[in-house]
Amino acid sequence: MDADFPDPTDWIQTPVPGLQALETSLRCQVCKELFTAPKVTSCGHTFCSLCIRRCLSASSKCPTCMKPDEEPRLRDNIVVSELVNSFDTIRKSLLETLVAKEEARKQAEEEAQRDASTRPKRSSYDLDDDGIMEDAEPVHRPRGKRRRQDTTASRQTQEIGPPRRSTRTSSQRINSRIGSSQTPVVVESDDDDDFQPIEEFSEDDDFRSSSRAKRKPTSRVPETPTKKPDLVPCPICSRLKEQSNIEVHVDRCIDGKRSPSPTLGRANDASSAGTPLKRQPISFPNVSKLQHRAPYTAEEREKLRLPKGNASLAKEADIRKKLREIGIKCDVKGKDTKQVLWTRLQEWTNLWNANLDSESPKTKPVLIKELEAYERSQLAQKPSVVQNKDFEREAWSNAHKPGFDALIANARKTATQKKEDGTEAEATDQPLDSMAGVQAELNGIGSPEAIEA
Amino acid sequence: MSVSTSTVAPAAGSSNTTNVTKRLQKELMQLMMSPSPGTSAFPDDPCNLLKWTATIVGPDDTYFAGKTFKLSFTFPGDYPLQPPTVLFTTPMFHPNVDMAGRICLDILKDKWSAVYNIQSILLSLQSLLGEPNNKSPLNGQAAQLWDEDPKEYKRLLEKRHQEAE
Repeated sequence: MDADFPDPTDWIQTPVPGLQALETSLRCQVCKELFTAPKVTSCGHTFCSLCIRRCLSASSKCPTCMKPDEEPRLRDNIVVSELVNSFDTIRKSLLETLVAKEEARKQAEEEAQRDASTRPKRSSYDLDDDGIMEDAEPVHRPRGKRRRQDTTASRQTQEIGPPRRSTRTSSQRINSRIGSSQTPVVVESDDDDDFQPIEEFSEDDDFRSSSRAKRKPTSRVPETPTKKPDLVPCPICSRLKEQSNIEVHVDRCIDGKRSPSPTLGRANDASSAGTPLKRQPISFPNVSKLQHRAPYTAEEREKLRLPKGNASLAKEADIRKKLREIGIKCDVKGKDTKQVLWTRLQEWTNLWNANLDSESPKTKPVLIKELEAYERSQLAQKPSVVQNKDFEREAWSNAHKPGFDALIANARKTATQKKEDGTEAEATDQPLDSMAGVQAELNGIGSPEAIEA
Repeated sequence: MSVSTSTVAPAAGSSNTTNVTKRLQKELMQLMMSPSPGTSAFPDDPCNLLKWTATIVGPDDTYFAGKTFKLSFTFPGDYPLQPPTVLFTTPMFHPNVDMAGRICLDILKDKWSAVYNIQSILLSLQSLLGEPNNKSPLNGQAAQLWDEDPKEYKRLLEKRHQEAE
């Protein structure tokens, strides 16, 4: 019900509470969000790419069944990815429709109740006729009646549902037409290939990438084939096409195989124009262009995938070098221990590999920022043992007060000593600086004004 | 529901523990909308979702029937990869709970999994009350009395529980 905070429990209040279970299954059990780049483990459980990678780095077990598993054995869960995409597309409108329906029903019920209290009671039997639901008298309604009413409500919802969805679909289709440089006829028939497994195109990676890139933004369940019965498989790519369009498609298919550039160009157009890149709140194409790139092809993913490595075999210097090569900050003076550096590299590997699986991959600078934010959030919680109890902070500062006082006294002493020695202007400047620094720290003011003084 | 979301919303923006906070928000929503009987949980402070107070009611047919026990949950920054720290804040007399309220339960230690949540912990604790693991007790006296002297167990439990009031 809350738009900024979608949750499976939203459906409880609707006439179709069963949708709660549906949405729960479409959510990752680790982050509780809708799956992002879903991956299936060797034991058959599905998680977000990043979630399962983090879990497996923490302990090499499936979080659900505790069976041992490893990252290289993860596979894409393509069907779930499509389910999530199509569900996410309709979720808002579906919820709105259902909530409106429920509210209307409640209102009708209230009115009926008001009417019933003023009017003499009717026998509950004559309520069983269809179509007089609004007159139903809810308080004394027999159990069967309620069920009947509910089914009526949901039937009505279903009647409302599909037309809405198809309006959406057609508008999306228009969008993809705009995003493409091809003739509308071809693109529309091309939209029908959603349900085809990608393996079909593995002979030609460029062609595959283009169909994948296009596939993702719109990616719907195969609803169109049922609408158009006269479909024939293309002899080249074996995708189902409209009979009337098959010749055009075959020509294009052959062209696409010979010179993939036109299709590739179209795919780039579509993705860089920021057409419905999935679940991405940024609506400005420029921003999304800066932060996101086109989805990686399978080949790129293979090539760019980072190995996990082995903590005991890796040398600190090597880890440092690797991090620096990537462009991740690490303390030069060796303040970060090997453990910290290793964890950082592991998290980077997780972020990077999960990003490869993403439908709207982020650019490297964005990823590095995310890594830093993640590490900060981890560190912020680390000293919780000390900060848990409020009284300890005060006790701590009280206990160490003599130490601080001694430091301040020392600083004052050196300052005055240097003043007495006072040979050069530089010499007097420096102690003043350090003094000011100490005082500024104590008072909580910045040092610049102190230096001026 | 709208109340809870509006109160917890600022936490997501102000803190950088977004992963944890987001997940805990979802759990809160789940707990509010479909609570399991005999358990409840809520954040201590709407701005800090990392600390919660929970209650469980002792299951029927156990020594703990009808008694309510409070617990504190502290979530680490890498929750749910790491389990929360769970303590009984109500004085407890149980084989697997020590006098400071610390709990010996495998799913809070090595058997923790990222798919567990507050609700599943509370349910596990509820069943732990009825079926303690007497083989690795934290409270030896309680473990011994549980098997040998139910009457004395009950007396000591009552005594401990009254300390709460």
